[in-house]
Amino acid sequence: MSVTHDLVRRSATGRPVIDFDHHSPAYRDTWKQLAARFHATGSPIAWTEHHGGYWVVASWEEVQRIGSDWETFTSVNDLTGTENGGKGQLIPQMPYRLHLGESDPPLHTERRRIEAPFFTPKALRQWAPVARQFLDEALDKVAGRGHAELIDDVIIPTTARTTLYVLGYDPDDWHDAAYAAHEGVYLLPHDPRYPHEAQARLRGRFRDMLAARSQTPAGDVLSALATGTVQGEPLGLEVAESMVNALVFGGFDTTTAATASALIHLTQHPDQAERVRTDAAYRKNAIEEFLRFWPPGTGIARTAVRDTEILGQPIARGESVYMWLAGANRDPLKFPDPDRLDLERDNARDHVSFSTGHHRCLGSPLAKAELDAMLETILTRLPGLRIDPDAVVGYPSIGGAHGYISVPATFTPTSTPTEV
Amino acid sequence: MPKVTYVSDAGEVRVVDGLAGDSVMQTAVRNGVPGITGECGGVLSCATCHVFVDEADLDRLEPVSGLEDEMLDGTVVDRCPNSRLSCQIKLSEELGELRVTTPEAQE
Repeated sequence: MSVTHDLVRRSATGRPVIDFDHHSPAYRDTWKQLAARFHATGSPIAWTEHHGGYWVVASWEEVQRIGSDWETFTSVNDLTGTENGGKGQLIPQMPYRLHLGESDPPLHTERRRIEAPFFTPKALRQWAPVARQFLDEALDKVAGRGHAELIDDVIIPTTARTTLYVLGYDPDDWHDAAYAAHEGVYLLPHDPRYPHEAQARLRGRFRDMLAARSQTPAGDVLSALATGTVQGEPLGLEVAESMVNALVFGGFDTTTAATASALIHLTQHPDQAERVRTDAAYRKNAIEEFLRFWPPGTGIARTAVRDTEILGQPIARGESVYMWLAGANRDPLKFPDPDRLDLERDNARDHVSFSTGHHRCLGSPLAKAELDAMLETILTRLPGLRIDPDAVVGYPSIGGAHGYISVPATFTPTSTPTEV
Repeated sequence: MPKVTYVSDAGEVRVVDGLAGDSVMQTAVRNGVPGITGECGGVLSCATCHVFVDEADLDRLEPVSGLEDEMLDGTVVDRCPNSRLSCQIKLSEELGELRVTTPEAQE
């Protein structure tokens, strides 16, 4: 009980206050215990002073409500102070705007509908075999070796090439694009290794391709954005480029992270691994539970545009609210015994790892199709797969994505992999 | 009380009492009716709550919006003239009883 009291204290004004910073090493090392203790208070909402101050919410029910109620909780990043005072989806607030994520309906709906047709169940019938082909090509290169760096050799070549293929970017020219995004997720901008130049090159390439596609559309996402209209007006290059960036930078490192988390667990649990490999229905639910348990995205923010309340706690207009998705996934009111990974959990798919409401991840069907292909195929084509958990190197901060820099693996080499 | 009859692709029938204001998708998900996924929760972004509405009920529904129409093009089982996304069909006392058939697959 005292442990719980230590976690959340009352400020002089009676506010529940927590020492919470999702970008900190302490968060990275203790987030699961933090979630359990926060829920044990019986009222998982508290104010943290980090990054200018924000409310942290871990109630699954309230996260659902916040995500749906865009009229109270805006996603807008009002950098000019001329809109609604919103501070965007990221904490700390970003100095540039994510034009799709950081907008509200009806504008958001109109922008999103340009990309939506590329991620429908019907579209997935087209993309899933593409992902499997890229995966097989990556596995062909390592299967005879007996060892691989799973992130660099297998998973990124699959997820990055698939995302770029769907986009309409040359999927054989994927390496620079992939690493500009991957390294940009886990390195801090002041790190000398941060890929500033590669990212600038990539953005320039996106702009050139959008300009070219506006003249000669080719039926891909780039063309749809280059020629798209919103509320009767052209979408415009700035917004189009921002939406391309969001797909690339948000699109595949998350899937990469989820795949690695699942494989690290499964190599410790061979019985589960064998069922995941051979039983499609079991694998489908297991993927949902892996996503619940190790969500790639830690959380996402909103700003209250009017005075309101969450779990009875008054929230003032202008205050930031952090939907702690990883915490909501461990709400015992929604997921009994939440700290137990149960690959057959009935309601695993109710997790909020893709967020919830109007901004729910557009690429979630593609992510799940890729996860499905990778778990089945990697466990089949790399027999005896072993990952030493002590050799795994995770991201130094998981506030952006719960991902990995390095996941070395060994397995039984197989000859002539192309004949498998 | 509004009532929805769900007929599966294989012909199994489930009759569920619904609440006015809930959608046909929500009513299915809350009552464990198979054949409707509703992945996105009802914001027209997933096309996994596809149903075929009984011809007799079709004209009693609100018309299909532009966005619903676009998403219906993306259902995994091809759309028919009586296709709807069931998150967009709201139950009401006036609407009363409704009969829908679920497709063979949603994803």
